[in-house]
Amino acid sequence: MGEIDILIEKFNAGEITSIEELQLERHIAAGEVNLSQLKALEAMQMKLEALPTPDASSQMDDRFYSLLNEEKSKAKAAPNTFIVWWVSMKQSQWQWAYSAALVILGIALGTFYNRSSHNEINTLTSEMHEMKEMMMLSMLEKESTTDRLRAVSLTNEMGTTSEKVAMALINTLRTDNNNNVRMAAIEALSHYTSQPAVRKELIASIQFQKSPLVQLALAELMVAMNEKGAKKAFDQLWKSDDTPQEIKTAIKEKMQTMI
Amino acid sequence: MESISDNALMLKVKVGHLDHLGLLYERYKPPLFGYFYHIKNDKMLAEDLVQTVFIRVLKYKHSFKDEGQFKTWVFQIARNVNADHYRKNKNKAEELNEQHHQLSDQGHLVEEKEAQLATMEQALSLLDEDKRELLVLSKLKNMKYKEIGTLYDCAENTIKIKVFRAMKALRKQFEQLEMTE
Repeated sequence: MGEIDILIEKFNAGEITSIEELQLERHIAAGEVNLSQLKALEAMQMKLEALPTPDASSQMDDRFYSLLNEEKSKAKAAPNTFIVWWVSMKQSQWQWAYSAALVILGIALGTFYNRSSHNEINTLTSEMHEMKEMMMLSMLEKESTTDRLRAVSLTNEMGTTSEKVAMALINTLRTDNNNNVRMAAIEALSHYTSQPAVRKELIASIQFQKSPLVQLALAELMVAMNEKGAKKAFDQLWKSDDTPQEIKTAIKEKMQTMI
Repeated sequence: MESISDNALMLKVKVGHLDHLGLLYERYKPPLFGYFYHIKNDKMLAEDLVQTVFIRVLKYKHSFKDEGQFKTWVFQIARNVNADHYRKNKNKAEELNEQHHQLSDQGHLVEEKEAQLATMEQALSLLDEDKRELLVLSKLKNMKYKEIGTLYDCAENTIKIKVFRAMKALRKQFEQLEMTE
């Protein structure tokens, strides 16, 4: 019988000295003794685990959901997406790049304004827009999830979106392996749902989604678009055994809100 | 198919989709309520403190990072809520604890529960709050030692030692109570 076994046996028999107990603690700390081996404590543990916990009252739920509704009302009253976006960029290289681009644009605009050359201003604005598009498309190809998320958020800064960018976002929604990036793509695409091609591709993207969170976000978007054509695609999700029950219920509720 | 992870839900809450907090509340109200109930021995107070936890989750949602687990993050908030409540009500808590002991001495609790469970509940309530909290987390809430280590900002093995000592203290308290009954 080894030293550890002797210590365990003595502890279980209530015959351990304080010095031996310190030795036992050292073996526990080293991972050589598991607490479940100490039978003298097992009875205590079972009694402890058997202690009943009463159910919380329904008033606790009422208070929580009142709090949540209050917060939702406050959030709706004070949207400030620019600040949220800016904070999300933090001290990143993109923030500095963006700041530099804005300064250059400012200087350039000032110079061009002095020359009263509206055509040139338009050209410059267009070039800036193209530059942003190129930056966004190249960032979408990056391995880093953070870069891809920033790429998607860049589209919010573009007044108009080209078909190329919209299709890149659709492709991201279908193929990106990160759910957060897919969620961001849905958010970005929600600004372009007036384009029939985007609506069509969004509906077709439903079948590619395996994440319940993304499915739910798409369902929310379809409700916002009042897109009845999506019902068929979601019908397949309801019938699938793979879809969690909570998602089936949530999607069904959302689809029913469509007129 | 995966279920929506706690972290994914909290990240949605973080960016303003507050509805998703409802799902997290449903998932975490039983363990959080149990945590406060077994530490404070007061159902109404436990409900108040669960509410305070979710007020803080909303207030500090921007500080949530996907690097850690939501479970340890929310229990860290719960521990802070518990510590703040203890600080603000220290005198009152000691007074109530004293009353509770007197009542327990008279054996009133035994009328409602099985004798052993009542004794165990009393033994738990007589422990120092830090030992009681550790046992509630590790034995009643089924948290892994590693998760508790993250919560306490110390190594897993240190937690094992703390649990070992707390269990010994509980056994001692339990045996003393049984001898006086």
